[in-house]
Amino acid sequence: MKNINHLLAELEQQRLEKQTRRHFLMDCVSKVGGLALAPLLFSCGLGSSKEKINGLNLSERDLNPLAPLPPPFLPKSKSIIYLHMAGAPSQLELFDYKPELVKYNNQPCPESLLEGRKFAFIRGVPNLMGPQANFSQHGESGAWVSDFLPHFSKVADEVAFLKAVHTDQFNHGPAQLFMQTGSPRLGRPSLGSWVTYGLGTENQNLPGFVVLTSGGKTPDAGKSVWGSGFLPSVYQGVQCRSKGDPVLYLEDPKGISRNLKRSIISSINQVNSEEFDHYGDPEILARINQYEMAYRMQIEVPEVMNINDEPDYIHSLYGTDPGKESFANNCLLARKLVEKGVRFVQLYDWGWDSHGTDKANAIDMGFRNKCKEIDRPMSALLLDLKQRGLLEDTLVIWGGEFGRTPMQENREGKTMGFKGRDHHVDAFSMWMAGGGVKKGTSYGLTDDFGFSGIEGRVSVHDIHATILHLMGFDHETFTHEFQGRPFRLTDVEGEIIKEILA
Amino acid sequence: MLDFIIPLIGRFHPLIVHLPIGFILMALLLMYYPKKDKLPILPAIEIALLWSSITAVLACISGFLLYTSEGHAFETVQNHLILGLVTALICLLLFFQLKKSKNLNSRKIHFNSVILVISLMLTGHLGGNLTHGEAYLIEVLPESIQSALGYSGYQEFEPIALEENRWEDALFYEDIIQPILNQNCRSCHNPKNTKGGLLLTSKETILKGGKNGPVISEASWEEGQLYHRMTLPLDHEDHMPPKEKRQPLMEELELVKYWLASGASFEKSLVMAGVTKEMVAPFFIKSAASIYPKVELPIVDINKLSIIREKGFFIEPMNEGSSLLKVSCINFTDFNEANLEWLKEIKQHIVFLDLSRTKINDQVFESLKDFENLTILKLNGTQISGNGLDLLQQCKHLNQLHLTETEVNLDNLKLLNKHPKLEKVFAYKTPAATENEHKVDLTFEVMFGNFELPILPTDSITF
Repeated sequence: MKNINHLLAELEQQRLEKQTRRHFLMDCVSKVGGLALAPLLFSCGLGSSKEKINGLNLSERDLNPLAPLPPPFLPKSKSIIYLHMAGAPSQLELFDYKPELVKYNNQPCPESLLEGRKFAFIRGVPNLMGPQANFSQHGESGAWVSDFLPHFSKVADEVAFLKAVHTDQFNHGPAQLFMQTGSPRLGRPSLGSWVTYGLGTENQNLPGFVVLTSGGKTPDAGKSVWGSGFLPSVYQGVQCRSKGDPVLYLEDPKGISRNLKRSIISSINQVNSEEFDHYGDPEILARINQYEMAYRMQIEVPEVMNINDEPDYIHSLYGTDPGKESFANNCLLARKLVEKGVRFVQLYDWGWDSHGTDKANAIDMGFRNKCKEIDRPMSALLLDLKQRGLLEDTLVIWGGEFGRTPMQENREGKTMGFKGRDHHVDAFSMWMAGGGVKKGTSYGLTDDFGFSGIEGRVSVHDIHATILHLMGFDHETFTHEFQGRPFRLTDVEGEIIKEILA
Repeated sequence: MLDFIIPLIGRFHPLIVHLPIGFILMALLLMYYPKKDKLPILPAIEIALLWSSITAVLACISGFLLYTSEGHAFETVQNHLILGLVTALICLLLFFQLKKSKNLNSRKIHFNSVILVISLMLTGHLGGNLTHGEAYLIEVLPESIQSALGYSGYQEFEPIALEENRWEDALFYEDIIQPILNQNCRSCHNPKNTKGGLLLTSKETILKGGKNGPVISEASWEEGQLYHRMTLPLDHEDHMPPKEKRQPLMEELELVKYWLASGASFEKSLVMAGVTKEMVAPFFIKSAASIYPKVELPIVDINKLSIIREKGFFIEPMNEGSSLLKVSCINFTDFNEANLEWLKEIKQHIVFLDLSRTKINDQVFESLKDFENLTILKLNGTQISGNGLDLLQQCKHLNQLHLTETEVNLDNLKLLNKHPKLEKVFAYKTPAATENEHKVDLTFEVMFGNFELPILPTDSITF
């Protein structure tokens, strides 16, 4: 016995001798990492009503992450439809009328404007290019809208224009990320994720955050623009397919009845709940809830996502083309989803990058055709929301990730065959409409060339602050604990744009 | 010891001024009495002019004493003062002229009497402006005449206005104390009207104090005149603001007290000075008039909500901590009017009710009429025909009614006429929308929709 003890002590001695400084350092690293991990893992609990299940403190939120939550302040809007024109449309051909620029058409851009500036493609001294569209004032508000958007000009009284938005990213990916997540780098939750994280969603049979794309491609920044970043992944946008079945595998497979499916799900859930009884891991409950939701989605999704049954006058209002991928179809879907209580509908339309390198992205050709593609649908969306009383509590936002230069692009210093404009960060236009937005207003003013905002300049953070304000949040206190510190959508900036609030 | 004599005489000025006015008018009336032979009344005129002159001089003296003791700026009183002297001098002149010539018809006498009348009226008017304020006569005029005279809007000072979610950033002096002083003290302690030599318009002038020295005591904040005078009993003659003027609110006094007690800093923010949210809460800007009723109701127990939620309702407070509720049947399409039973217990709390696409019929109004705080009601896509919409007249707060895709016609909508709060009714895709041709008078706005975007020639062009 004594020998055995001796042997064991010797073994321990040997083990300890092998513990080098490196082991010690490694232990330190992993344990400090563990310390850091703890708040990460336990930062998901948000609910205020904790009920005890299995001795664990669980809120309704733990069981169902999309359960609705009241906003901190009385909201003006309950849903959002965000129309993002991926590629960045030219404000100078749509809303920002610059008659002075006509006079300087084809004249070299003053050096003072170019000093210290970098452009994506423009090199040397480019020529200025006057507006390629004809402008006139519309509606009682006298809003300037060009003849590229003849239908939209009739609903211009419904919206509030922001004419001097600025960003700090001149490449599509980072700029789209900045516009949608508040940071040009990857890893932050998107606006839609923040909103569904903070408010949940009303209709428990549908996702809270739906993404619809058109224009043949998805945004350059990839799916991160509707990602959930450091928020639980359940808050990321659900991208619906633009052609065919919007959500796959919702149809019952041949030979399998709905009842059989129900009993399969019930059995899985039963096994899962036994597992939960054993381990008490709330993730299991969330899993059970996901199965239930997937089942419920089978009832509602096919109905909501089907635009074929809409009456003809709605199809002609929107200019829809059922079965094809189109912005018009997506606009109609957006209305249907919001009507059914979806919190956030994000539309991306690709193809707005009008450099003038070929016909398809020339300002007076491809770009004008793009305008035509969105003109009727987005005007119809506003009118349809209005006549159904949905515009009272739905916020509609339109914009790109940046603007376009008042100068004609001269890629590699050469004169281009088509009329195009380069990426521009200093001034571009956006508009908002709906719940809580002051109709028929225009805020912000650019200089005579439309190069920089001279009055009412607003940043991307300001826009986010305003959107959150309308949804009932204070953007400064709406935070999520991550990596040991609270994070905000607006980082450390953002002022509410009071001038466009009703 | 007899310091009080001067201000006392000064304060008799408003009384004394009326004597020369009376005597002068008396003298002038006698002088122009329509009688051929005025010689018999000449002695009376002389006596009237004599007393006019004496009282006018007294008025000048008392007026000057008032000016020196009450701290008016010279610029504000100079016209009144000079014209007062002119009046007194002309009075004297007229008296001696008449005494000497005994002739009422001389040119000199006529000329001087005209000057006397004019200067008397001007002096009186300017004096009135000093005591009652320049706006005194104009205030009562109709606005159109006011603006025609060029008197649009007098300088009014904003009361304290704090934003609820960033009150911590507000500065104690700039955002709280100065607005309180503007509201309560500025009318007598401004550059134009500096009673007691005290200006309460900026840091420098407050620290400088008035004629009797500083108003903020460095030794003990309670002994400073500013606080002392404001907290004297209202009946005390030293109480400030004077009894007949606007008195500060209790909350304002508390803040002034706290400011002085915390060292009367002109730079500190509210938080740095230790002010709590409760102290400034009465001064938060009230958000633009909400359509929802302002009612004091207890917050509904969360467990009670859970029980109702389990029946299939979507139900949540309007915002965190609100006792008002939003209820929707978005995932409860089998809902019918009998199920309203389940909401009875919380019906006072419900301000937003969405029963769209449920199986309700016109019976529903019978129960809904008791939802007294209902503000937004959505009945889109239901079977209702609108019989019984008049019962909603009893929901006094109803502001928006959504009836899209129902069988409601215009006659039913008329039942809602004269509803006190109803602003918007949505009636797209209803029989009412198709009857729209003949305009009916409704006391609320109705959305019939049916918007169209006409086809344009450019629609078919590819560029």
